[in-house]
Order: sequence, then structure tokens, then C-alpha cells
Amino acid sequence: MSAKVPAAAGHVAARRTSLPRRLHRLRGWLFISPWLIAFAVFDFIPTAAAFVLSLTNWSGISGRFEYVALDNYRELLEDRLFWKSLWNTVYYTFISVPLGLAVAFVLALLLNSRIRGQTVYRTLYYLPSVVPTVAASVVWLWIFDTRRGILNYLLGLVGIPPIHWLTSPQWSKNALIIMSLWTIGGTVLIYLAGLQDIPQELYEAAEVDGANTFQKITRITIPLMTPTIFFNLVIGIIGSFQVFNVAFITTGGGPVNSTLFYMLYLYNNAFSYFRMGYASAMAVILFLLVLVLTICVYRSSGRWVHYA
Amino acid sequence: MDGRLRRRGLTRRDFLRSSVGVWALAWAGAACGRGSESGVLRNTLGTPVATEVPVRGDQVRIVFWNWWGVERAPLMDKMIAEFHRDHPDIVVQSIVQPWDRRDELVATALASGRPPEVLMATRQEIVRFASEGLIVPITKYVREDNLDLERFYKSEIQTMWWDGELYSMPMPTAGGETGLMFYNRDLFQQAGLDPDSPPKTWQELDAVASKLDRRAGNGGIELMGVDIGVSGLEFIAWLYTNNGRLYSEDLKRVEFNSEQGVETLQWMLEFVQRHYGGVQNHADFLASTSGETGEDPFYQGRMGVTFRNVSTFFHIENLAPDLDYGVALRPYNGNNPKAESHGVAGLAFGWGYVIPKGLDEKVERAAYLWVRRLTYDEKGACWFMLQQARPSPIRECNENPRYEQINPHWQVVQESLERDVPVGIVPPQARILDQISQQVDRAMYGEVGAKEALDAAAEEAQRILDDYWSGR
Repeated sequence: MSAKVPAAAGHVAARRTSLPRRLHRLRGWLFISPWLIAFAVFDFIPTAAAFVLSLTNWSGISGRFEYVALDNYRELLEDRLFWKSLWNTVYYTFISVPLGLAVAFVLALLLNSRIRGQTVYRTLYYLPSVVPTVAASVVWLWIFDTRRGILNYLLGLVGIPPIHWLTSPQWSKNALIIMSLWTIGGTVLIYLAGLQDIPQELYEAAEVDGANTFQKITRITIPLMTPTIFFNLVIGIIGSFQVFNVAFITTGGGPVNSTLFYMLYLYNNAFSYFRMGYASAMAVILFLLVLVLTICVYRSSGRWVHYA
Repeated sequence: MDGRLRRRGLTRRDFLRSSVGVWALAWAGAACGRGSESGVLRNTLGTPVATEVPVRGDQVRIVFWNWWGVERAPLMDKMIAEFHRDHPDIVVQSIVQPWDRRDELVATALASGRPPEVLMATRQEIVRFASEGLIVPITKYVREDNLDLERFYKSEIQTMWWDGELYSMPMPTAGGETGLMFYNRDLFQQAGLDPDSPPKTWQELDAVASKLDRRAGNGGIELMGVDIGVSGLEFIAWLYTNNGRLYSEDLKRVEFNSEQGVETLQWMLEFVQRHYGGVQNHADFLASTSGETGEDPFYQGRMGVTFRNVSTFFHIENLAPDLDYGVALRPYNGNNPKAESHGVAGLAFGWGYVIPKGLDEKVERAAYLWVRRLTYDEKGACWFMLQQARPSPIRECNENPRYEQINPHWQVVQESLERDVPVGIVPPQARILDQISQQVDRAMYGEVGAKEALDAAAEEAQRILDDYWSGR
């Protein structure tokens, strides 16, 4: 029967049946189009523009600029402060991220235990994460004050001489790392969610087999939490490479550039020195660095992350 | 619903309904995000700062971004009201902007191509914007109106020129920043010093510090005799009291690593070691304090001598009204026969008002008239400063006898302004000053000596300067 239908009529019939399907597909695109457009305008285009701008000497404020090829990248290689800021950031990342992950994990374990006032403790630990950085930084400036700070007062009680937390190049980065622990509430929350996903039967079985708390943590909790640890690690690395606010507010990059983090130096180039082309080159390098690190972490995850 | 879709596919009507729904939601979300009500002007933090005054067809609106703070808004409003009476065809809308990330805000406004008609800008920014061709010179208007620029202190108006064109007029002063020395008369008396003979030279200052200093048991500072400052900007301020300067006259060579420069930094380094026991003690002593709060050790009688700008009179009156203090000029190097006491104008702070390029001729002229009111006219420039008991960049404004009634130290302020010298400003100034600050910092922390630090800063600064001049 259908073979008798003229070819043109068959084509029209096909169009009739495929239009609703196409509209259906289009509706999906339509639903995500506000996000897609926002992503293109606010993320993709600026990111692509940064790549282009990194090849220019654009000041960031005027419409004039020249193509300078790889000059910005060449200059970066010889820029003492670029290397200094990179070193400061790598140091910060390699200490603050593992430390933050460990402290947050321990806190999450404690907050996951059945104790009275559990929700109050959880709220208390999460609270600092919603405190504005400026307010938190002012509090920490007082805590780290060499002469009148509570930290040195407490250390003094056990006979430790005052530490120049923010005024010594040897201590300033460590002070900011300690300060970074203030905002681990978000990480703790993610760990808590992960911990509550672990089936209780596994712990009960372990108890029947005579396992103690340490064995339960090392043989059950940690292996089953590795996907969550992996997630927090990746997010932590990306976030710590972008550390900016605390140094901008508390130390301004000093003393002697010991807290001049990568983003702070990038910001100075973009908005204080009006060297947007140079700052864009820094942004491109940061992008590539974080990308490579993230790929490395992903590659390594096959060996230590268990998706049981 | 899913089953129906799978069975029948999607009709045109469904599709249109979805389209309208999705975009209506997006539109509503965007509108909520803006949170805008018509007729309300907001600053960049989203705080409502002014009600948009309706403009008649024959009127011109001038949006004026400034950082005068909300506390001075009533004064600004009075000045604007007076301006509206004199110029009924111009409507000025003042928007007080936050200090938070100011650089970012200004750069974004200019880059967007839609900056306000009048923008408050620092001396360094004015030179930078002028060199980038972003702002209009006001030279032709000043000539048309036959304004007498000699009314300004030379140090104030000189930094408003770039490439033979005038880009703004100043208000408030850029001078009066580094030239004044404030000292605690009570502490002088307690230490057996004559409070009516404050130190005039570096050497006398050193001796005064020795008498006033009091160290704590742990080696820290209990009472700081003299705070000479330890930053790169303080180094430049002291450099000019040793007959040194930042650049050559033509702004093409850096000169801060001259013999006078090295001598100045060496003197500072020795002073810091001798009187503070190291730069960390200085930083620790001043940590969490600010000249704008009562915590300041000078207001609390824990500091003998300090170098502050003219706003300190206001802060003392409010935060330490009982403080018995004296004011004198910044000491100079007594061992250098050519050295004199000078403050520097243009190193930090000091504001002007700029008009971006691309405005309609009528709007540009209106913007100029507002800039003129702010900086030159009696009803603006003089009045606004007098209300704050701060000096004006216009000499004759400061001769108003009311100043002397308000401030017993007024003659010293006037002398300081007369002695101020303009510091050279080039477009890449921020980078050059940062080079100096970094190397002075290194020297203060003992990483390098005075000469090595200044030579390193000079080498880099010269490269930046050469790059700039060769690229013009």
C-alpha cells in the first residue's frame, strides 16, 4: 500500500511525523538555552577572549591595543614576581588542601557520631563558611596580632615565645593556611553526606568480626569515602589556586611578597598596573596549570578511588 | 505527560507554550537579579544612593561618581543645590561609590564605554587616562573662561597637566600629605624636651626618638618615640627632604637611586634598627591600628612623633580631643646643605575630576562647569574644603580667617603647602612605585642593603619607563 503512495506525498508524510520530534528536541534546547546563553556570554566568550588578549598589550581601559605575539609569555618567564607568586600559591595549595581535607574529614566523623546537640555542632562548624571574608579577616587579624592576639597569648601559656604571624615572611603563608581552615564547613558538609551514604550493615558485620573503631575507619569508612575525598580534592585544588581575598585584605601580599599569591599578582597587573594583556597571559597559564593538575589527579584516581 | 509525549510527539502549541514559559521565567529571573526600580540610582554594591531627578527636555544630566563618602553627602547635596540654582539647565546626580575594589570599578566603567560624565580620579589615574586618550582635556574651556591657574599652589596644578594639556583641576590637595609632623607635647615635656622647639633635622629627630623611646620587656616597643614609616612611599617622602627626587625633569630617567637616595634609605634602615629593634617590631606595634580609629597609638599617648596628612586634625578633634599636640614641618637632612623641608604632592591621594571622551558637546560643557564648580569656584572648591576644615589647593581660599579660628596650627599647614613639591607622575607610575616598595621592603627585612635595593628597583623602573617612552 505504501509503495503506491507517490514519492512526494511520502516525503510530506515523513516531514509531518518528524516535525513534532524535532520540536521536542528543540524544546530541550530551549529549556537549557538561558543557561547556555549565560554560559556563552559570561564564561565561554570571556575565557576565549582571555586567550586572544594574552597575545596583545591591551591596557584594559582603552580601545587601543597591538598584537604582541608571545611577548607577554616571554616576559612572564623572566618576571621574578610571577615565579614568586606561583611558588607562594603552590606552597599554599600543597599544604592547605591536604590539611583542610584531613581536618574536615575528622570533623565530619565527629559530627556524624550520635551525640546530643548534633545539629547545633553541625551549624556551628558550618557557620564560618557563610561569614563574609572581610569580617572573618578582621577577626583573624586580631587573633594573629603578635602583641595582643589570643593565639600568641595561648602559646605563651605553654612557654612558646610570640610568633610574628603576619609580619614575618617565614610565618605569613602558614598563618593564612591556618586561616583557610576557618572555611572548611562546606567540605565537612559534603563529607557528612558521604558518610551517611555508607551502609550501616558493613559496620555491623565488622563489629561481629571483632573490628575496633580504627579498623572500621581505615577498612570501611575511608575506602568508601574515596569518591567524596576525590571530589573535595579536585575542588580544593582549583579553589586554592585562586586564593585571593584573604591576602588582599589581611596582608596585601606582604611582608616582602611572602603572601603575594598568583591571583593577587594577576589582579594587580589587571587593575592597578592596567596591563590586561599581561594579566590575561597569567590567567591562561593558571588555566593550563589547573587543567594539568586536575588531569593528573583524575589519572591517579583509578588507583585509589573506589566506586563500590 | 511523558507517555503522551512519547506517543504523540510535541505539537506546535506545546512548543510555543514552552517557549513562552521558559523565556518568561528567564526574563523574570533577570529582572529580579537586577532588582531595579525605576528612578533609583544605585552604586556598584547595589545600594540605593540617589533618587533619579527627572530631567526636562532642555536640561542635561551629569552623573558624578565620587568617593567622598556618605558622611559628606549632606555637604555635597548643598553644593549641588547651589549649582542647580546657578545652572538650571544642568542636573547633577552624585553617586557615592564604595572604596572596595575601586581600581576594578573604575577600569570596568571606562572599558565599558559608558562611564559617568564626571569621575573623581587620583593624580596617577588622570595621567594614565590622559595618556590612553580616554578623557578630554579642559584646556580650551579654561582658556575660554579665562581662569587664573596661578590661584592654585604650583605643586597642586602641575600634576594635572599631561602632554601640554590640562585634564582637571584639583580638589582636595595632593600636598599636605607628607609635609606635616605631629608631636605629642606632653610626652616631650615628660622626656625633658622643649615642646616649643620640635626637631628640624633628621639628626634632631634621631635625638628626640632616643629620649622618647620605651621598649617592652620582651624586646618589643612600649612607646614609639618617632614613627618615620618603613614603606616605599615613606622612603620617597624622606628622599625629597634630602634634596633627592624620583625622576629627572623630563620624566625619562629614574633618579631615586642617587647618592641622596641611598643615604636616605640607609638612614631609615639604621633608624629602624636603632629605635624599633627591627621592622617586625614596628609592624607589630602598629598592627590592627589606624589613624582613623581611637586605637591609634598617637592618640593614646604611646607615640611621640608621627607624620600624617591634613585630615589628622579632624581625627584628633573627634578621637582624642584632649591630646596636647604640636605641628611642625617634616625634618630634613641637616648634613646635606642643599636639603630643605618639603612635602610631596601627587605621591598618594590627591584628587581631580575627569570628563570621559565621547560625550555630546553640550554634555561635555555641562560636565566641565561641574568640574569647575568643584575645583575652582568659591562656592564649591573653597566652601567644600572649609566646611571640612581641610585646606584647599587654592591659596586664597586658605587665607580665610575662619581657618585660623578652627585650627590653631593653620600657619604651619599653609607653610607646608607652599613648600610642597610635585612628584613626577608617568602613566606606568603604579608599577614603578611598586618596584620601589618591594625593594625597600626587602631592605627593611635585611635581605639586601640600601644601595643594592635601590639599584635593583631603579633598573626595573628604568626598563618600565623606557618601554613606555619607546612605545609612545
